[in-house]
Amino acid sequence: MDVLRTGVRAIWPLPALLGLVAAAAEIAWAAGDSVTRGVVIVAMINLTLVIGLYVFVGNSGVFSFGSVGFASIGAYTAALLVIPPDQKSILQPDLPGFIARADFTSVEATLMGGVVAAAAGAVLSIPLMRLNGIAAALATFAVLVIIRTVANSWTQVTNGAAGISGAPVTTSKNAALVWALIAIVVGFVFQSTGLALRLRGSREDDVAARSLGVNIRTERRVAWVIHAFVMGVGGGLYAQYLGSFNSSFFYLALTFTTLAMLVVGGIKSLTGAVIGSLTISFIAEFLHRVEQGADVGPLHIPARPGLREVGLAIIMLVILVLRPRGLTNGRELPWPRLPRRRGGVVRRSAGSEELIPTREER
Amino acid sequence: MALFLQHLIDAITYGSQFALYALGIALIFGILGLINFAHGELLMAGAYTIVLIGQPPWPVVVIATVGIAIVFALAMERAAFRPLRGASPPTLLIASFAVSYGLQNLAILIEGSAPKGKSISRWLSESFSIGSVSVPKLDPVTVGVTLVLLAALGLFLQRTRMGVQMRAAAEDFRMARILGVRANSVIATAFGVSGLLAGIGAYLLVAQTGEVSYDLGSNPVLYAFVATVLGGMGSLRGAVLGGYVFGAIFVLLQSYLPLELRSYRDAFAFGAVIVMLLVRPQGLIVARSVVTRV
Amino acid sequence: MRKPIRIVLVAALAVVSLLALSAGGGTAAPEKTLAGTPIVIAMPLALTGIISFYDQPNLAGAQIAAAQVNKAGGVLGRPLKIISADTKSDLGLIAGVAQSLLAKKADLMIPTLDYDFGGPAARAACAKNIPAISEAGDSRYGLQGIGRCLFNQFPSGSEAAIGATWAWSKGWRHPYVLEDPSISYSKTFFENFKHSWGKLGGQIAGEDTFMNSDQSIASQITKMKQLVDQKKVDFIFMGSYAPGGASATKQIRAAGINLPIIGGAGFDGTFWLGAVPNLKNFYVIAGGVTTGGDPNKLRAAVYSAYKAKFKKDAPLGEQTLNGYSAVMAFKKAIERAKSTDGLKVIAQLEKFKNEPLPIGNITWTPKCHISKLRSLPIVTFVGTKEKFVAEVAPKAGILPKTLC
Repeated sequence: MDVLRTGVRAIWPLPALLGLVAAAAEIAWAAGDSVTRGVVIVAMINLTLVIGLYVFVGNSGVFSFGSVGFASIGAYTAALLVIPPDQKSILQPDLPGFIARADFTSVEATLMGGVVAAAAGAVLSIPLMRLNGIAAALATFAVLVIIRTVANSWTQVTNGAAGISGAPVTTSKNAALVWALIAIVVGFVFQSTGLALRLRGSREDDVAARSLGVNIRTERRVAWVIHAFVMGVGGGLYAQYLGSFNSSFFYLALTFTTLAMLVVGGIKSLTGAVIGSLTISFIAEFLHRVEQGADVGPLHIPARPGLREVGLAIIMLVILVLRPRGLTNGRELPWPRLPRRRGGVVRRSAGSEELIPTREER
Repeated sequence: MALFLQHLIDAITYGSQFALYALGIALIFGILGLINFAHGELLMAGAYTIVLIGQPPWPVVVIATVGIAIVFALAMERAAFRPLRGASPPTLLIASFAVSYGLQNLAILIEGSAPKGKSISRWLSESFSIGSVSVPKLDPVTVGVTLVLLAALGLFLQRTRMGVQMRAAAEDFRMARILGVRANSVIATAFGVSGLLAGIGAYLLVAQTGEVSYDLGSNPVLYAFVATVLGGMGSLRGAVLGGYVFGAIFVLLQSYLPLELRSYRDAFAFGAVIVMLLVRPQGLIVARSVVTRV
Repeated sequence: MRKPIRIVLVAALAVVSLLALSAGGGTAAPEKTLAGTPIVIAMPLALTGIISFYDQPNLAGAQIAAAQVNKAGGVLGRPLKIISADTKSDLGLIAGVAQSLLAKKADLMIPTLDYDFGGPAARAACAKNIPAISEAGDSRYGLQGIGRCLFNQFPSGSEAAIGATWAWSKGWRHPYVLEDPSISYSKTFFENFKHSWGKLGGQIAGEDTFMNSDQSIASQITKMKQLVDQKKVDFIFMGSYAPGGASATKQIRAAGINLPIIGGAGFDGTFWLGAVPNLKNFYVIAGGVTTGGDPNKLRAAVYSAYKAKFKKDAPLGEQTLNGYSAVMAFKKAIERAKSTDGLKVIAQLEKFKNEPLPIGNITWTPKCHISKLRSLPIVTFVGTKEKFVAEVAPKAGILPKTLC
C-alpha cells in the first residue's frame, strides 16, 4: 500500500500540471476572441521554451542567457525544411541544394528543429560547460549574440536581416498545446533521473561538490543538450506560427520574457516553470484587455495605451518582492490532501537554499 | 603609422566609454550581488533630460543630467531593490530586467518611439589634428573625464569613511554589518555613485551620437556587462581593464576583418569573450570576494 | 524590512505609475456625416511600441483622407469609416488583432508600413480576399510575398536606383558606401545601390559597415578620411536609418568631411536633425517637403491638411502620404468597380496605370503589385526645414532583380 501511495505521489505533479495547462489553454481558447486565441498559442509556445530553459537552469543552477539562440536555430531549421520547394526557389534562390529541395511535414520539421538545435548545443557544450557561475552565464550570453549575428549575416541560408518568410502557419492551438504537454513530460521525466538528481545536488552547493571531487560536467552537458532540443522545438513552433520572422525576434526581448517567466514561477521546480509562464501570459493579456478600455456595467474604463508593458513590469516586481523565490518557492505541486507532510512531496527541493549561493543573508 | 595612431586613439576612446559604463555595473555588483541591467535606463533618463531641458549653459545641462540620473538611481534602489535585499542573484537580475523594461516602455509612452536629435556642444563636435591624424575633441574629453572619475572614485573609496565602509561591504557584507556599517546608507550611496557615473556617461554619449531614444541604454549596458565579467566580476579595477580590453577587441575587428566578414564583427568579438573566459574564468583581476562565491 | 511596509511601498509605486499612465488614452470618434452603411477600412497598426512612429502618421493620413472623402459625398454614396486597433509592435499579436478587426465587417485594410510588422495582418486580409494597400521597401510586400490582396505603393528596389540615377546626373562618380546591416531595409538599400551603380558603369571608391546601435564609428571614419584626404571620394552613400544613421552623419561631419551624403527613406522627416544642426549637403530620397512649400500640389495639399488638423508639420512624409493615398486609391477602385466586393476591387487596383495620387503616380498590374517605376522626390535640409531638390525616376535598365 505504502509503495503504491508513494508511487502515486511521486507521479502526481505530472498529471496535475498536464491537466492544469490543458484546462487553462482550452478555457482561454473557448472564451476568447481572435486576439486572445493568438495569445493562447503564443503562451503555449512560450511555455515550451520556459520548460526548455528549466531543464538546464532549474536543474543545474547555472543561469543561461543563450537559450533563445537555440530557439532561433530551431526556427530557422524548421522553416527552411517546411517551406514548399517551389516557394523557396522564388524567395531564396541561393539556398544550398539539399535545403532547397527539402519538403518536410510540419511535425518532422519541428522535430528537426529540435535535433539541429540539440546538435549545436552538444558542440557548444564542450567549451561552455567548463565554466561555472557568472562566467558561464556570460558565456551563454556570448552564444546568444553569436547566433544572432550569424543569423543576421549569413544571407545565403538565413536570408540575412530580411529573414525567412512563407512558412506555412500550422502551429494551431492544438499543436502548440500538445508540444507544450510533451515538453512538460520531458521535463518531468528528466528531473526524475539519477543524472538530474546529481545535477540538483551540485546546484545546491557547487563549491562543496567540487571540493569533494564530484564532477558534474557530463550531467550538465546532457541537461544542456536536452534543453537545447526543447528550445529548438519551441523555435520551430514559433516559425510555424509567425510564418515570417528574422533574427531579431529570437533575441533580447524573448530571452528576458522567458527568463522572467521562469524566475517568477520559481526556478527550481517544473511546477514553477509552468505556473510562472501561465501567470505572466495571463497578466499580460489581462492588462492588454484593460488598456483597450471597456464598459463594465455602468462603469467606463478608459483606454490606457501602454498599460500592458508598464503594468507587467510593476506586477512582476511586486511578485518578486512578495515571493523572492518565485510563486512556487521552488516546490512541485503539493499532494492536495496533505500539503505540508514531509516526504509526501516528491522531488521537493530543499527550498531554502539559493540557486547560486548568495554570500549571506541580508 | 598615422593609421596605427588613429586606431590607438579609437581603441582608448571606445575603451573609456565601456569602462565608464562598466564601473557603474561593477560597483553595484560588488556590494549587492546584483547585475543591474536597469543601469542603461539611468543613461536613458539622463539623455532625455538633455533633450527636454532646452538650451541652458552647458554646466547647467551637466548638473541636471547627473542630478536626474542620481534621482532615478536612488528611486530604483528604494522602490525595487531595497525590498528585494537578500534575494538570490537570479531574482535580483529579473527585477532589474523588469525595472528596465518598465522604464523603457514608460519612455515610449511619454516621448514616443521616434529618436530625438539633440546637439549639445558645437565645441565638442569639432576636430583637431595631430600630424595627419584628425581627432574629434570629444575623444580626449571622454578619456580625460573617465580617468578623472576613476581617480576620484579611487580617492573616495580609499580616503573617505563612506568609501572605506563600501569597500568593506564589497568584501564581506555580513562582517561589515557586524562591525557597524549601515547597510542602507552604503547601498544607497553606491546607487548614487552609479547614477553619477551614468549621468556623465549619458552626457558624453549624447555629445557623441546626438540622438536620444528609449533603448539607448541597452547596448552600453550589455557591453558593460561583458567588460565587467572579463575584467573580473566585483573588481572595480577589473571592470575598467575589461572595458579597455573589449574596446581594443572591437576596434581591431572593425579595422582588420575582411569586408565580407565585417558584418560578423559582433560574433567574433563575443567569440573572443568566450575564449578569454575559458583562459581566465575569474576575469583578468580576481576580486577577493568572488572566489568563494562562484 | 517587514512585509507590510514592503507591500505599501510597492503599492504606492504602482499607484503612482498608473496615475502617470492615465494621462494617455481616448480614441477619436469616426466621422458620421453621411447616411448609408459605412465602408469599413481596418487599420491594425502599431500605435504603441517600437515602430509606432511609422504608423501614427500613417493613421493620421488615412483619417484626413476619409474625412475629406466623406465631406465630398463619400464613396458610392456611402461614408468611409476607419477602425483601428493597436498591434503594439508585437509580432505575436498582429495576426489576431487583424482578424478581430476583419470580423467587424471590414471591407478594406491598411496594414503597418513594414514587411515584418505588416505581413501578418496583410496575410489575414488575403485569406478573406479583403483588398489591402500599404508600403514597404521589401519587395516581398506584395503579390509574391504575401498574396493577391496586397498592393505596395513604394517603389521597392528602385529607391536606391533613384539615388544612383540622381548622383550620376550630378556628375558624381566616386561614392564611399556605408552599410548598416542591422535591418533588412538598410542592407537591401545598400546592396541595390551597388547593383544600380555598377549598371551605370560606376566604380565604388570605398566601402565599410557599421551597426545602427554603434555609439561610435570612429574606426570607419578613420578609413574613410584617408580616401577623402586623397580626393578619391566625391560623395557618401549611407545605407542606414535614424537614429544610428543620424549619429554616423554627425560623426562624419564632426570629422570635417563635408562631402554630399545621400540617404534613403530611413532619413525621411526632420525629427532627427537636432543631432546635426545646420546639416548641409545631405540628400534624402522619398517623402517630399513636409515643412511647407512642396512644388507637388497633391503632396503639398496633404501636408497642409495635416498641419491644419494637428497644428504641426507631419513628422514623416512618406508614411503620411501612404495612409492618405491608400484611402484615395480604394475610393477610385471602388467607384470603378461600382462595388465593395473584394475581388472586384482588387481587379480594379490591378488596372492602375500612372494613377495620380499624392504619394506618386501608381502603376499596378496583375503580375506586379509593387509600383516600382514611380518617381521619388529628393529633398535636402535648410536649417530645420526641408527643401525640394528634384523629382527623380529610376533610369531604365539599372533596377535590381526583385520579385516582380
